[in-house]
Amino acid sequence: MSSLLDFLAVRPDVQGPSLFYSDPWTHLFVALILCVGAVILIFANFYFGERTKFRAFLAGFLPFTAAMVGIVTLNHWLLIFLCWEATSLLSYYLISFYGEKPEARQGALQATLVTGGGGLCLLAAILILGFRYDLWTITAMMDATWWTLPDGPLLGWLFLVAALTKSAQFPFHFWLSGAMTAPTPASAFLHSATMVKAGIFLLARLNHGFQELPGPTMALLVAGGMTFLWGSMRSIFQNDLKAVLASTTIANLGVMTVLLGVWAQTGDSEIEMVLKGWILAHALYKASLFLYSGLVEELSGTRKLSDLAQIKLQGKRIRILGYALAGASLGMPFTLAYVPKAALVLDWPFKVALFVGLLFLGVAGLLVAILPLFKSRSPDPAIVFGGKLHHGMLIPPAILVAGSYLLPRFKSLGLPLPPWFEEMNFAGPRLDLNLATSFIVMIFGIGILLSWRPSWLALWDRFSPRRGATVFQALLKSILDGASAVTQRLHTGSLSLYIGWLWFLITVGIGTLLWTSSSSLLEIPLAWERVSSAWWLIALCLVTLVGTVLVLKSRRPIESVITLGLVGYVLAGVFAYLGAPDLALTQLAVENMSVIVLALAVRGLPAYPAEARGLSKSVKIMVSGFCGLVVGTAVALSGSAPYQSQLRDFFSQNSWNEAYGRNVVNVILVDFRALDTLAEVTVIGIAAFMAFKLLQLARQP
Amino acid sequence: MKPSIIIVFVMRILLLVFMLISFQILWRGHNLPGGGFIGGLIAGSILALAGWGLGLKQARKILFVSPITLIFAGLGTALASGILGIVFGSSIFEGLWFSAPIVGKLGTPLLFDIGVYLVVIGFCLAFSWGLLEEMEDSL
Repeated sequence: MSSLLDFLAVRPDVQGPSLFYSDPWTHLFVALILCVGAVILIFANFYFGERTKFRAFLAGFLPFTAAMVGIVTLNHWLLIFLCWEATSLLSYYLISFYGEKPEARQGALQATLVTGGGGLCLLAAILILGFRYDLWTITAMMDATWWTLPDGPLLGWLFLVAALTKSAQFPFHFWLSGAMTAPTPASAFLHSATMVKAGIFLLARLNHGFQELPGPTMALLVAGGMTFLWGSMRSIFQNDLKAVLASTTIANLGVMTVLLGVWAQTGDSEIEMVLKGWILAHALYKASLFLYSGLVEELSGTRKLSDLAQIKLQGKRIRILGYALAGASLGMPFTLAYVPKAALVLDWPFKVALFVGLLFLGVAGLLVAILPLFKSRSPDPAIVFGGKLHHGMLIPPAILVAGSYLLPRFKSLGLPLPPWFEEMNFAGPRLDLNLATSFIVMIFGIGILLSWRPSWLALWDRFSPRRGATVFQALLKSILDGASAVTQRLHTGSLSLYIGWLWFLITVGIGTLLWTSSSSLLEIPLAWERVSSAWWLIALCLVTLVGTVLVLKSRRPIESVITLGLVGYVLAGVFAYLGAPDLALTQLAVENMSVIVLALAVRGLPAYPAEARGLSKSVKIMVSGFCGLVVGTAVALSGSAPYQSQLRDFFSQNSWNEAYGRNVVNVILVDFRALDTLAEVTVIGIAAFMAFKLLQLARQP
Repeated sequence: MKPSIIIVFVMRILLLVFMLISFQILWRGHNLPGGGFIGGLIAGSILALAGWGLGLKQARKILFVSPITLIFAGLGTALASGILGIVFGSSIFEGLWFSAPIVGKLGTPLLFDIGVYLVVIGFCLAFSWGLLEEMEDSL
């Protein structure tokens, strides 16, 4: 941690590495997060009717955005980790925004546990890098070519798991479907520019390392491929608009992961360009589609495709938006998604699988964008909906979809553009296989769309394997059940058992310490001898012993309290005799107070029952006997430890000269260590405040 | 239940005596055994007993602020003595001293000790009076 403090030091004499690390990926992501975030914020302003809801949304949304920007810009790994986990925690807040619904809570918990758990892998990688190699920043890690370290492959795997959980890749893909319970603006943000893209971002930044690590790269390809196939097929068998979109996001993330894998395998910078283009295009049209689904829900009151098939939404503006979105998500010519999609179709070994996957994705996009706009073939007459939408809700998705169409044009306009954008390749459509594939996908898509029936939904359920979420829930439940089983075994409610365990463990702990330090064992007889040479101490100990026996023999709690107080007073006498008047005074005062409070507390309690409860008497005697023996020995030995005189010398010299006090104890408390004392009295104050509140609660009928 | 006249009489004397003792212990703490903590405990004990001997209502009237107010006042005083060190000195909790007539030297450590004293009294009373209150309810 000291390195973090050095790193954050603002003193001019400390020359630390820069707070920020930036590469082309940083630029792309900062632009995406902030632009998409701003547009979604406008939408959210009109989406949440109630102001209080909007403010509550902002309370999660803004820190989330900040944390996401932190992930992509910061240089120090610990800061990145903080932001990484902050996005996981804040996503819990956003996903469970409608926490009154059980599925919202469940989805949020799932998302946080999966991504937060993956975050632990990131932490492990960071700690290995930091403590073993002293590489705390990205700059240092890149300079040291982290993949060549002895732990390189391990680091690769850890980064991989962190990224795959965050980006909802197989086998962790299920959390993203559960996350659709978030309010629509939050979903739009989580699915497009943030959260799931954090994993992709991490892998992209570390890709040079993965080029040297074949194992994790292979895993990237496999996980990405599985995710792509699963997501794309799943997407057209969903009934909920947002669930369709969630599945397509999963599939798109799969493509990105595969691209990352291919990039790592070939080291081809062309792939990097395709990946950037894909991320940009996907973020824009996906955010827009989510907002559009919010509009559809606003107008029709439903998100179910089976209902929407009966409904025809009217209104020119929403229809234009829907068709524009369909084109953008299909990756038609002149859109942002066209080039990366076409590049994929051409340069890909598994052309058929990819083609089918893209076909599914295209259909899913069409389902969301177009199905609400017309009535599909069904016997009932269409129900026509057309409400008034606020401009503020229409404009944000329109801006995003306009970006899909206009951004490729920017390059030909010769405008001043940021370098990361300048690098991207948006060549216009060429009359070749690309264009043909695009149209084939579109025609097939429209064909499938026209024949879409709600009855299709049942197909998936019939053939689907066990859902990831089900497995996860079962796992979670088994952990919770195990925990409660352990708790029930240990927490029996028997106070005597708890105290028995406590003293037993103390005895074992101190006993082991004594036993292992062999030198101290030799001094035990010596120590006892020293203690036994002071006859008055023995006398006082005997008085204490009598008091203790009286405590044990007392029949009512109040008798115990009083006799225990007597023991305390005797102890105060011991302190006074040994030359510690401060301690003696304190002991007396504390004893007074505790007798008063305890007497008040035990007032009205019945007499002790005749027979012992909980542990049997012999066990109690054994545990307390051993404990007394061990603790007594430890105390006796502590007197023989080498005496440190520097502290005494320092305080006795300085307490009068510097602090004008002769009572060293008090001077330490109120002057030399005043900050510690302040913390202590704060604790005392908090304890008293809580006691006060508890007693107040107890008095209420 | 009205407290017996003997207890009330004795309690009043004890309260006066022990409060004076606790002030003295607080005051002399810098040079002799004592200090805010012990003084606070003594004052807290006698006030707790006063709550029983004179009745809570009477005791509250004598203290005139609630234990919780006392705690916050004490924390505030202690913190203020530290902040004075920043304002007039060079760092937090730097001891500042000045000479006063009759009493001799006064300084921010004493102010800090007064803060501790108040917190400890509040602490004692939050517990004991809270429990006493419950007892009076059940009577």
